[in-house]
Amino acid sequence: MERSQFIIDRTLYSDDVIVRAAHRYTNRFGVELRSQNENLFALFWSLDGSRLPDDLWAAFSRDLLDERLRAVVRAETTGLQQELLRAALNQAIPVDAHV
Amino acid sequence: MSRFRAAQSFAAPPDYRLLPFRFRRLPWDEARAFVSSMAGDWLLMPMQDVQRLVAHQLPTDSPLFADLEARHLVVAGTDRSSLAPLLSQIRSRKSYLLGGPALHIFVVSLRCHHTCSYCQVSRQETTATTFDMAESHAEQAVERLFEWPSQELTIEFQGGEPLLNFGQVKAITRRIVERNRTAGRTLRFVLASTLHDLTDAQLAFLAEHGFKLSTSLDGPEWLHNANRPRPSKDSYRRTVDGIELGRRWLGEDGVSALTTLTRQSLEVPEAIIDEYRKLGFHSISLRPLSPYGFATRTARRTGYPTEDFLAFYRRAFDHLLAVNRAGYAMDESYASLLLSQLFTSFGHGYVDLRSPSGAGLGAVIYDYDGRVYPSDEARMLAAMGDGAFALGDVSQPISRWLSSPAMVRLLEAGVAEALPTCADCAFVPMCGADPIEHYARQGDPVGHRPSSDFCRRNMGLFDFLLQRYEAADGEVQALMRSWAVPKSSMEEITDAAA
Repeated sequence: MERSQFIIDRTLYSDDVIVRAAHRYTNRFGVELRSQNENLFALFWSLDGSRLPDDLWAAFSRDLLDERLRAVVRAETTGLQQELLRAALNQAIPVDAHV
Repeated sequence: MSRFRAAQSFAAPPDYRLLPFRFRRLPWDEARAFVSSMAGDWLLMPMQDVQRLVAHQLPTDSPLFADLEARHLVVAGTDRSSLAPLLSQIRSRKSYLLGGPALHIFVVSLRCHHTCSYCQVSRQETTATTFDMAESHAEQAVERLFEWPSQELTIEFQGGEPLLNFGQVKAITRRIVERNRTAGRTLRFVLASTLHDLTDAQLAFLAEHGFKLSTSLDGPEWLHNANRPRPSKDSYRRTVDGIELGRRWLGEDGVSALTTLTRQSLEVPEAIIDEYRKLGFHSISLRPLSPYGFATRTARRTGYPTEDFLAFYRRAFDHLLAVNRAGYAMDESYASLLLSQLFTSFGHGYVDLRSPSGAGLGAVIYDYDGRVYPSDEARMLAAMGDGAFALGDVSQPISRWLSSPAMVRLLEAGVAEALPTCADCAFVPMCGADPIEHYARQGDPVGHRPSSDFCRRNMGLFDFLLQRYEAADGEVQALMRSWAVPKSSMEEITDAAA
């Protein structure tokens, strides 16, 4: 069974970002994450015995960057998102909380 | 001295605030992204600009910034910008939340004369009248119907074959009409039927109450008969006769049809579309198989992977464009739904693409035995022995259904914006959660979205439509935009019931 292991610098990417990026691959590969000091090891293996794609590291690196961008947007807008939703949909909240 | 202030007086402040947005790299051009606001307004832009946007490096006097601001992805100073239009867009897109369930399905019998291999409803023999809805259950179901607040009520009769218990269809309809004299709701009636053995007497009643008919037509005669066998091997002929008879009584737009796609169907998209054209339909609905009922038992023979469905769909779409270019107007209802989500901010009647989940909040199913479900799929699961999504029964008040464990389960997994992976998906403002399909396929209402057929199908279709739209000439773009315009009530009903 073919395996690939990538070492990710945790000072560059938060664990949350790494987990979100890795999760995107869980439909195609087995994925294991292990932390060791400043690094996090991401292990990928084929579930059906086929070869892992040659560009796996390039694709995973790109997804890490994208997830980091999403994390920045989330950090800047999470509170606002909830406020906006509440303001937009307050009419949809049942008057009687028991119904 | 000028009467106007200098242009720089109106300039945006140099810094800006991000509004919540999501992005997805385009599969056909990974250097660009589909970027969407929380209300579903969107644009395609280079990833480099997405990075600059997030890093607060976009000049606020640039055309791109103006575009982003107009689409509520960013705001430059709250003193010169209002978020009211964004709130209004969100409200419009989620307008289905405000009225409560509008689609109410009465399953008057499980009896059916067909033995379809992919049947989603676990049909019973035509003589098995114990599977008919009893009078007492029908009476209570009508009482419950009027407890819901929706001003518009669509009542759909379904089976099995509802014509096999037409007496109950008539009784329920009359009771609803009578009850509505004081309730004053807007009523729409639909009968979902094979249309076999439809009689003039039945049609006279249906016409009197403004019914629409929804039937199943899987394609040309050989395919329809193979998918929907009857001992007499004349399923196609009976359905076509029923369509013609129905149109004579109810008008050309009084009858709509849906396809269910088996593995055989995937080989002949052109023939299926041409059949609909031959029969005078101007809309077709290309439905993949559902993971319920008898379909699960025959999945190996009739089923197929989502990638095969998407390949079929691309061929079908090209053929539909050719049909339209040749002068015959025809749309595909699911493409219309997705395009309406891309090009308008309107809500829609299609239960599966709602967030919060349309099951229970958009539709209610009153089964033949008095049990109540939040969707037809929940009923099918129950027929397979899994009552995880049964709300209760018609003897109970609706407040009891809404506080049932099934409803809690639905709501916990029913907000797509809060689900793992969906929360970051740029298509989520236009998509749904569909917890029951995920439960049926993956054993968990939240589901594992990276391997979800629901996600693969819908994301695949959104990607395909966006790519086709971007590459299309002006004529095709205009055609696709015309499909996005909200349709007549009949097509909405068909969507909702699909």
